[in-house]
Amino acid sequence: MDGAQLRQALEEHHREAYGWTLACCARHPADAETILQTAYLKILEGKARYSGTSAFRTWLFAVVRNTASDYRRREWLNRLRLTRHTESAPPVAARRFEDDVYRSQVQTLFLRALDRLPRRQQEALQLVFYHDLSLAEAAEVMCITIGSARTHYERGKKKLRQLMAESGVFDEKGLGRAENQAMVP
Amino acid sequence: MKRDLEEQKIKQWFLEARQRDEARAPSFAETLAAAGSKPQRGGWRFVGWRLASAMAGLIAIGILAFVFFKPSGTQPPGPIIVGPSAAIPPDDLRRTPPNNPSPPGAATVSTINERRANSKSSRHRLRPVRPQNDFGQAALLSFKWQSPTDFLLRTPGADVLRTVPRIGDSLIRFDTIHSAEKN
Repeated sequence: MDGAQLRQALEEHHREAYGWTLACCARHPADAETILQTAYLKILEGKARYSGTSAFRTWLFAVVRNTASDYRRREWLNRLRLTRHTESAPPVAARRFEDDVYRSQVQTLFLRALDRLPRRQQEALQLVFYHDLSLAEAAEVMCITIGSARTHYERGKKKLRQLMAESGVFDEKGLGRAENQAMVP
Repeated sequence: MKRDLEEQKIKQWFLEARQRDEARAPSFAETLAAAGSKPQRGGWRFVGWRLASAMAGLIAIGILAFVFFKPSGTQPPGPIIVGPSAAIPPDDLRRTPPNNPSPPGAATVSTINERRANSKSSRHRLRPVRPQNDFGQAALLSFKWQSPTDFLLRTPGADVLRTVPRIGDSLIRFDTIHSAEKN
């Protein structure tokens, strides 16, 4: 793939890649943008090369995941050295404003529950439900076997259902947002 | 049936999250422009790591060299002291080979080292025999050498100073003195 083809492919998958990046960094928009930019740089500078053995989207997601892991590690080191820059996290007021505008109450509960899952389970659910990947593709992105991916997927679903049931959203009779408004903080 | 419902609900929530994320996503052009304007520190960091690892390697090599190749001047001199005080039994000294031109009291450094290495009765661990150097040879020569002013130290009656007097051998006859006093 030459540079122009790479750009075109990246543009095609840009929105999806952004969604996956958000999932990889606990849904922090500023971190997501930084990670995505770094991943694009890696790809366009040839540090990450697409060999064509898998689908482009799968490969792109794997690159984003690895970049996010590097970013998390670096952030952890920065926190350890107490030199974390304040601009990497958006101001609290801005985030709250965004939440108020963009997140519905059920969505807030859902995202909180998702956040409480272990990372692997989150990733498996995100890849399968959000990005419509098969379990085999999800396993490829997560660099694990399909058996492990299936286990994470099943456990994640079970735990997510349990967490949502605890919050009163996930009842057997059917979910209606109006019915659950009282439960929403 | 229940399982399908659950999956559908989860899928619905994920779908809503996706729609929201896509609405908030920055455009591709913006992301690319921001990526292009990013200061590239990775290269410098890489060079820094390489330099640091090279320095660490050099320091390690230096320490190893210092430990294993210490200059011999720092070691205590081994076979310099020769002669009767070299803790060699006198029998061994007498059994020096006949072709050795040195006198029996002054064994050569090599023979001393050989005997030390061969002696099994030593309580202490033997030091490895080091090759002779010029300094050892000079020390051996200085052992035989005598000062030309040594005769100045020789005094009459020096033998008396080196011998232990015995009571019976006294030159003064005490019994005669006593008999004279009695008279």
